[in-house]
Amino acid sequence: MSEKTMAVNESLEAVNPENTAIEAQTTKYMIGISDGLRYGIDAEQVETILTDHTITHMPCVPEYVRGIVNLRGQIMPVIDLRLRLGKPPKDDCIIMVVNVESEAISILVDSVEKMVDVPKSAILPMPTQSHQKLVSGMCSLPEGGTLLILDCDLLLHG
Amino acid sequence: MGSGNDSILDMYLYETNTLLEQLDGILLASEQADTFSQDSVNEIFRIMHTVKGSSAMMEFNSLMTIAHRIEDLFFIIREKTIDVVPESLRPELFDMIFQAVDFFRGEIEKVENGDPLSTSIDSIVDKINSLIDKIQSGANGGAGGEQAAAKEDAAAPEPEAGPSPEPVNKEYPFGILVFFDEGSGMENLRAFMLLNGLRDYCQDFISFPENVENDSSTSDIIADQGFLVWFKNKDERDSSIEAVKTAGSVRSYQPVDAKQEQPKAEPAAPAPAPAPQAAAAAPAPQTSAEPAPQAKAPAAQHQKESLISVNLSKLDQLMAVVSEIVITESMVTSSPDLKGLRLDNFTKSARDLRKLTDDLQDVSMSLRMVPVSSTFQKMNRIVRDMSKKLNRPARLVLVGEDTEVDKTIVDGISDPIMHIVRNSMDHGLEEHQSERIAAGKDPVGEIVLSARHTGSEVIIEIKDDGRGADSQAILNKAIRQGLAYPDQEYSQKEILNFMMMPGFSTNTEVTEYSGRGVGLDVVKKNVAEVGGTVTLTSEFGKGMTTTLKIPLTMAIMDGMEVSVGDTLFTIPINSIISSLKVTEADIIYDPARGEMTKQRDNYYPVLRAKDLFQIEGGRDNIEEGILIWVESGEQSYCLFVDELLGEQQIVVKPLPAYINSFNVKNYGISGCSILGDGSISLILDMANVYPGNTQGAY
Repeated sequence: MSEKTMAVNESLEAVNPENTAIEAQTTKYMIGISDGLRYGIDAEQVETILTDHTITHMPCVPEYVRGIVNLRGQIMPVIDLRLRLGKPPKDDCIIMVVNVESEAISILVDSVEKMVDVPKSAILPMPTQSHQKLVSGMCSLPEGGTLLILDCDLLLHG
Repeated sequence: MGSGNDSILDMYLYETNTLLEQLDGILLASEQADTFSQDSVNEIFRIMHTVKGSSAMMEFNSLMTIAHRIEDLFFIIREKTIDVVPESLRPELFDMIFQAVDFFRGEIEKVENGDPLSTSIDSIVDKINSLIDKIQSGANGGAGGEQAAAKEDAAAPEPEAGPSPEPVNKEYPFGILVFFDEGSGMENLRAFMLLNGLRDYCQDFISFPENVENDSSTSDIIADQGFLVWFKNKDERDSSIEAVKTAGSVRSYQPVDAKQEQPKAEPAAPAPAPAPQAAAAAPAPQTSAEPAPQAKAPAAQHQKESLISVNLSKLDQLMAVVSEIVITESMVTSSPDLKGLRLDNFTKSARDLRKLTDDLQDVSMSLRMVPVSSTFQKMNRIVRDMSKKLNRPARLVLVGEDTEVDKTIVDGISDPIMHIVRNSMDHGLEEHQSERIAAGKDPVGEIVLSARHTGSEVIIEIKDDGRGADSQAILNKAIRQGLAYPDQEYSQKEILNFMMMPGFSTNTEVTEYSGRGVGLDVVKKNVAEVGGTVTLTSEFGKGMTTTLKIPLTMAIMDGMEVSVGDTLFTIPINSIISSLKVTEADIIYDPARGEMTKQRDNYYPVLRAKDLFQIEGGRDNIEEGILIWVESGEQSYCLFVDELLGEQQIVVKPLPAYINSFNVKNYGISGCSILGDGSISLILDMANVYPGNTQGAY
C-alpha cells in the first residue's frame, strides 16, 4: 500500500512542485461506515462501489466470506466487514470493490460516506492493547469523529 | 531484457523448433527407406543452414558449430549423391543426425528455460568429423567403409570422464560409473530410479551425487561426469550391474574401483542392430529420389504459407472476450425488462444474433485446437530409439492423428503419452522375439497409438501386444508395498489401479514381477491436471491398453445445472449416469442413519447437497427433489438436489484466489461459471464432493 501512496505523491509532485511539502504528506481515504464506525480505505485501492448486487452464496468458507459476485465477468469474493470484525450482520449493504495485491475483492459495508484527505502526520498508531487487528492506524477527522484506517492486506491474510 | 529482444528470441525458438520437427520427419521417412533422396538431402542442408545462421545471430555458438558441421556433411552428400555413403555407414549416419537433433532440442529447451547452454559439444563434433572423414575416405578408397565403421564402434564408448573418480567414503570402495543417454533429461530422476532398482539386489550403497531425488541441479553433474554408485564389496557391485544393465536410458556403465586401478570397461550398450524391416526393404541405392517423400514435401510447403503463428495469450484473451459476449448477449435478450412485450422484430434479430455469437464462439474455440499429430509423431522417435537399443523390433501404428485438442491439453498430455509408450516398449513387449513367436504373435511388436473424439472428450489409447500385466504379480507387489491388504479380494480393475498409485514402483528395473509401474502415478497426475482420467486394461499374455480420457477443452464444458435452495451448481455431464425420482420407500438407512438407494442391483450412498454444503433453504423431503446418480473416479453415489434446471454449455472460470485459499477445491468446488442471466453457478468436481475422499468434509 505504501508503494501506491508514494506513487500518488510523486505524480502530485510532478504536477505541483511548489506544494510538495504539503501534498506529499496527505493520503486520500474513502470512508465506509460499518456498525457505526468509520473505516478509511486508501482511495487508490478502491475500484468501484456497487449497490444492489446479487451475492452468490459460497459454501465451505468462513462465515464472513459472504460469497462471490460477478462484476462484468470478473468473479470476486465478498467479505462482510461486520462479520469479519465479529459484529452482527445487516441486510442492505454496499459493496466496495478494492484492489489488494492485484486481486479484486469486495468489502461489504453499511454505507459509504465520502473521501477525505488525511495528512500522514495525523495518523496515529492504534493503542497496542486494542483488539482491532485489521486497523493499521487511526486519526481524528476535522468535522469530528474518528477514522480507523483499514489495512486491506490484513483483511485478506490476517 | 527488452521486449524487442524477447520477440526475436521467441521467433528463433519457434522457427528452430519447427525446423527440427521437419527434420525429424524427414529423417524417419529416410531411415525407413534406408537412404536419403536428393530432395531430403537438399532439405536437410537447407534446414541446417538456417539453424546455423540464426544460431550464429543469437550467439548460440555450440548450436552453430554443430549445425555447421552437419551442413558440411550434407554438402558432401549433396554434391556426390547419397551413393557416397556406403551402406554400412548409413545406420551410423542416421544415428548421428538423430543424436544431433536431440542435442538441438535439448539446447533449445535450455534456451527456453533460460538455462546456460552446455559447452561440451566435442563428442558430437568429433563424431560428425570422423563420419565426414570416413565418407570422404570411403569415396576415395572405395571399400574402406566397413573397416571405418568398426573403428567408429570401438571409439563409441564415451570419452573418459576426466580424472578417475574418488570414492566418497573409503568404506565403499567398489563403484559403478553410469552414463545416461545424452540429452535424456531429468538425469537426477533417472539416477533415483536406478537406485531404487538397485535396492532389489543390494541394500548397502552410497551414491554420488547424493540426494538426486530432490535436487535437480545434480542433473548437470550426472550428465557431465556420470553417476557414481559405491558398494562395500565386489560381489554386491557385480550383482548390481545386472540392474544397471536393464535400467532405462543407460547409455554406458563401467565398474570403477577405488585405489587399485583396473578399468575393465565392459562393452556399452549392444551394438545397434539395424531395424530388420528397414534392412530387408532397403532398395538398391539409386540416385533417383523416392516418390513418397518427394510428393510429401511440396504439399507440406504449400500448407505452410497459409499459416500464421499467434501468441497463445492473445487467443486466451479472445476466448475471454467471446465468452463475455455470449453471456452479455443472453443477458440482453432475456432481460426481465422485455417480459410480456410482443417484439417480433426484436425477437427475430435476437435469434440471428444468437446464431452469430454461437458461430463466433465455435470459431474462436477452434483456433485453440491443434491436431495431436505432432505429439504422436514424436513417439515414432521413441519407439525407433528404444527398439534399437533394446533390440526389440517394434512398429508404431498411429490412428486418428488429425484429432484436434485444445493446445494446452496437447502440451499437457505429451509427457504422459511418452511415458506410457516407453513403458510399453520397455516392459510391455517381450524381451526376445522367440517369446513372441512361441506365443504365436507377429515377431515384430506393435504399439497402436490412437486418438478419437466422443462428444466432449478425446480418447487416446496406447495399446501394445506384449506380455500384458500379470495381475497376481502386481497384487503381490502392492501387498509388499503396503498398498493392498493380503486378505482382501480385489477385482482385476482394482489390481491394475495399484500400478497408478504413488509408491507402487518408481524403479526401472525389469524383473519378472516388477511389471510396469514406472511412474504411472505421475502419468495419472499429469493427465488429471488437464482434467482427464487414465484407465488400464490388460489381458495377461495378450497385451495392455492404457486409455486417456481427456476433455476437449478445459475452458468450456457441458454441465447440468441444478439448484439447491438459492444456490446453483453445475455438475459435469460426463460424471452423470442418470437422474432419478425416488420415493421414501426407495431409501434404505444404514445404522448411522446414512441413506442409500438401490440402483441396478447395487447400493449407492445418497448425499444431500444441502447438508454437504450447509445451504439454507432447499428441500428436505426426498420425494420433492431429485437424485442425480454420478460416477467420478472411483466413486459412484447419488447426490440429492432440489431441481434440475437443464443441460448447458458453460465457460469455466476459476474461483478467486482468496476463495481458493480456503481449500474449497477439497470440498468439490472446482470453479464457477456465469449463466445467461448473470448469476453464478458453482462447478462441482464430483470426485471430491464425496466426503470419503477428503478429510473433514462433514
